[in-house]
Amino acid sequence: MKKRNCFFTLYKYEIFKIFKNKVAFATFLIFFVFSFIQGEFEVRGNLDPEDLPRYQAMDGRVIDDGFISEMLAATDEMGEPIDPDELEYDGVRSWVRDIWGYRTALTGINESTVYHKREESIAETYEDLKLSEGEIAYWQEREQKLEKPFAIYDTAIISGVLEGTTNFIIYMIMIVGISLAAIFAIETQRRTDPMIRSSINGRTELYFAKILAGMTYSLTGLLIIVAGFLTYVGLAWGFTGMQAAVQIYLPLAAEDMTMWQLEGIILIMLFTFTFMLSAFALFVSNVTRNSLASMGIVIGACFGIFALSTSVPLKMRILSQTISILSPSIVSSNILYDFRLIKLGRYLTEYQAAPMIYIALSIILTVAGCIIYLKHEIKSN
Amino acid sequence: MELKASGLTKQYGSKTAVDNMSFEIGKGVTGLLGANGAGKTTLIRMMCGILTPTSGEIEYDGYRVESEEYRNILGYLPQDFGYYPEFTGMDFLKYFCALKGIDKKAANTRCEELLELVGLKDMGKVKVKKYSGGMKQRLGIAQAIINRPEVLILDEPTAGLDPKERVRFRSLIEELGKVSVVVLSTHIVSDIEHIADRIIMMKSGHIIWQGSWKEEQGSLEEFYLKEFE
Repeated sequence: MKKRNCFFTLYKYEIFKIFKNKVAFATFLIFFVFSFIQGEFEVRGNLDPEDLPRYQAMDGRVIDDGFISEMLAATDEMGEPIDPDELEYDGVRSWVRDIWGYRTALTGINESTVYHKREESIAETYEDLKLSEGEIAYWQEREQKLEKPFAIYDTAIISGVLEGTTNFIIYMIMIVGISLAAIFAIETQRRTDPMIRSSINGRTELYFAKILAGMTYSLTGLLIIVAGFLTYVGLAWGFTGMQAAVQIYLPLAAEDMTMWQLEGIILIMLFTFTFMLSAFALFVSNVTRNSLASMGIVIGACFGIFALSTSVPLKMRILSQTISILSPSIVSSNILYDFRLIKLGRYLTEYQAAPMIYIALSIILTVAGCIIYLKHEIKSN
Repeated sequence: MELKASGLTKQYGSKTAVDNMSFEIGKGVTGLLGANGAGKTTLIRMMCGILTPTSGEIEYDGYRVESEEYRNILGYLPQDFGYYPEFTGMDFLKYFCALKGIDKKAANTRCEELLELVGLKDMGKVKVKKYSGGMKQRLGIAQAIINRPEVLILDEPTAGLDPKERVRFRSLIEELGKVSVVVLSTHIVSDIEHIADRIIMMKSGHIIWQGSWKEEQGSLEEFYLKEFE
């Protein structure tokens, strides 16, 4: 009988196997429902919806001397509103205090001192991160291109969108860890391995069909969750403020971009990190041939690296930066605060380099997994 | 059509499961007879190219058993038949059609043919988890012959079959043996004594006797029991 390539039929059956895994399907459904709940509470948790128009009353106004003076007139010395019911200056007040400090009196501040204080804080951050002269020069050049003064926007919705998207990496660790653990392990657990491996398409074709099915499941799952969340937020709250400069939410950031662009970066990080996480989960499932062990290793490794990322000292630059890039915590708006660059011919920011690193690591894991899969032997009964 | 092994040895640490075995198996039914632990399953896995010998080699008409060409004409039913409980019988066979490189159109016809052949025609749309032990074993046999193999290797295929099914299964194997190389491993003499053209008897990883029993005198069962005393 002539051999035919049945890759897509195999792929279809591998998808079918994942969906027939009740634990995997239930995990996805739970997190899908959570995404809507998150869409509601990420924004509602920041404010009373009825007050939203008052918070947004100053949207679009530039933070200059005039606006700062108005805010100061409505604010006591320690930065609290004189009228506790006043909400209109809350945004600019918070922004100024983020820069000026929450335990410092606001006496005598103006546009010049606030922006100067911001520059001082940025310089301190460069020092804390042990940046090289080249890196500092890179960021200073970017800083100079920023259009100042910035225009204020209420950050309740911005924060909801960005933080909500960030949280999905936790969902994906659970979904990928639980759902993909069985992809290779199932053949050992169900004892179908011997028949598969003695079949013409049971080696390279099936390996890549399994990889593609696993990737499709996790990335499509993520797409559905993100789309559900953004649709809910858009319909329930709108996206007011997403056109603001990122400095309104992250005052020390040096990137000339809007919140939408930052959301785009977080989404790219989320999808590429999930891609790498899926490749890792598939690799572990292939090597261990045990669903529970795979699940434990994938979820444990993610949370382990996450814990390490907060504890490795910054002076151990290479180690701390490597862990930072491999940690799920990189999927966050705070990526704009990690000013450490990666030199690959030219300087790349972490958010520029990380997706390439994730794709390269995924390819390495997939190729290494293929070699291991092809060498796998059926030894035990 | 010849499956040829020379100097085949498989060691697991200090234990030798198959020790320096050589044989040639041609068209027809070859019974691989031996008690549990004789090394039959290890030998069969090497014959299927899913276990690498420590030394020696196996070839089929010049093709190594690890090659794609060999896997293309191989059918295999392992001793411990595995299945996906959530698949229907039809889905299970279609999945194996894809694994065996049979295109979608031909697969539908072939799966229906096979379900009828193994007496599961009315069970095609039922999930495998609802099958009895005998039904699962018949599904396994269908899977093994789905690609009309030139080489069919069956490891303890009658396990779980009732007496009526065993008789039916033996006639099926006899038919397949007319056009293919069939290797049937068992520890039950009655499974092979009437249908095997040739017998390889194994004990502790060695061949203790091989040949055509039809040419010999006496009862195969008595001979077998005597050898394993």
